[in-house]
Amino acid sequence: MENSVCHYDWCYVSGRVNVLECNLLGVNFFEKLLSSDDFKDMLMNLSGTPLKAYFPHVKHLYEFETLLDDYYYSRLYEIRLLSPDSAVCDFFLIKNDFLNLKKFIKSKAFGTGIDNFYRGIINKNTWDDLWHGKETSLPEMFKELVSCIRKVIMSHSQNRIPPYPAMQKGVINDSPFEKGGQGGFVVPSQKWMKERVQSITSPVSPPLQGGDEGGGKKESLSFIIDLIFDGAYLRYIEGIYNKIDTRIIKRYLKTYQLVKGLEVIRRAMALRLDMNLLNQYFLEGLNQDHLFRKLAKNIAWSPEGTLREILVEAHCNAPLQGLLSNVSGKISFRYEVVSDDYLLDMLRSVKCIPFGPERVFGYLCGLTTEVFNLKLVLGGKVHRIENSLLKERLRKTYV
Amino acid sequence: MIELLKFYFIQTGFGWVIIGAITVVTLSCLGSAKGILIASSQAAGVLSEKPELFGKMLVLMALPGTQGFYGFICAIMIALRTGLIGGKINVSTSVGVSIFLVAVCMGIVEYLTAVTQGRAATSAINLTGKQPEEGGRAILIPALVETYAVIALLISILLITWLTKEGGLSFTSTTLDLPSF
Repeated sequence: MENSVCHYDWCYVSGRVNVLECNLLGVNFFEKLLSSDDFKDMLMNLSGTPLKAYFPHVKHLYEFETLLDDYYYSRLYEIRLLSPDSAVCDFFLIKNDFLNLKKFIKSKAFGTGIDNFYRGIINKNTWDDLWHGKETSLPEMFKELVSCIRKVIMSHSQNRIPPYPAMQKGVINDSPFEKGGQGGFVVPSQKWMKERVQSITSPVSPPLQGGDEGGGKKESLSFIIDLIFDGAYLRYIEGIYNKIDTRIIKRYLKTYQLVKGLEVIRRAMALRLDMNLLNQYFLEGLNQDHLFRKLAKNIAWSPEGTLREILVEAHCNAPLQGLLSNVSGKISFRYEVVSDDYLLDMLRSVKCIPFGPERVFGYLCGLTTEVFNLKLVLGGKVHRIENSLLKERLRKTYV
Repeated sequence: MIELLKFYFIQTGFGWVIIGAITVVTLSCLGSAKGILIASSQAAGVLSEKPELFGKMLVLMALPGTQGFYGFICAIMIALRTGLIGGKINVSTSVGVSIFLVAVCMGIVEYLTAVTQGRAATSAINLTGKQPEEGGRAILIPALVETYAVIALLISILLITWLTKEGGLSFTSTTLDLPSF
């Protein structure tokens, strides 16, 4: 948080957020929505909420994702505009920019088209300037990231995968994972990762493009780019952590980074992924004494059943100990649910703070969770998923 | 210049009294302005979503403004009791310094209570924004802070009265004309 921004400057947006919190949907609403199988019932339920304005003449629910995105991003941009310091809102938006950058880079590397960009804060045309080395107003971290990936792509095209050029320690670097969990945060699926692992571990690297062999190489490069972005995004979170002064938000970001990093390591462990890949592309740039390094270094690949014990042991002093202890048996999707719930629980106390960035941050997390839950339930209903499966994946609500 | 300073700050307490009066008004008004800024910004945020609550918000927004008036009352009291308005000096140096200290303490209390009241008002505004029917009770939250601003005012008035009454602390009954500049 910039020093020029006074705590009192948050009063206006906090007052607005205070009222908007009343519009957030509670757990009862989602249970009601789950119990209704009829399309008309669901629309009637939605019409009794602030979402009514976004579902005006909807004939079916297939377009729900677009409508919910309209709702979510209009709120987010509005609050960002009113906030004295946009850093709080940027946390929720900039991950989309990194996803967009990743899409853009992959499109350049593989010559594929881009279906659509997510809504972020950086103009899409800027990526092209950045890629061509033109002067842009983007932070240095983006330039470094693009430069590093260019080197990897070039080296990859020459049939050798170089170590990921280490970024300067302490420099803020960015990059998101993928969309999916709370806040649009996504980690690659196990199946997806398996496919890429197989392609990477292939002894002969085929040419970058063209023919059947090109597909394997393309996939391995794509996977490496993902790993680089994953690691960079976690370092970016560390950068935000250092910039923000608010204690609760700092604690949240620290845990968020931990949770998401563990998610990547957990999946890698489950897939018996080659540790060198993680070291080269994911862990590179992190401090030598970073927890992720400790985890990756000391832990031999273990059956997923014992992962919980390993993580709990490694986090004996970390706030996640309690979280991990609650995950019984094999860590599966429950880890994502429990960790998202845990993160949101961390912010519940900010509702008692009358004004400040933490109040706004808490609301935005609540809004993000709400939209995630809505997408889950509506998407599940559209695709006729069992209620029990949807229910156990529902995240706790903020209100 | 030195002669003038000697007259105002050493021979008499007139200079101390003037600085005291200015200090108490300045601190109180600054505190009130800041308190109102906090409360009204928060209220504006609530009103942007629920404009119908303006009536209830108005009281909460105005509450931190009372400290400014208390400071003003204190300054008037000082001016009246020490001959500042009449142009006749009837305070000794010791009384002048005492009144200055009273005014500074009063100013600090008013400043802090005004800012604190502004913060308390934001909680009340949030409560009213979420539950408009609780607006009446919500006023009590910042009103409790007001108690201490009132106590500071009362004590200041009593002390100024006691210090400037005949037979009080080093009170001089002889009045002096102001020196010409």
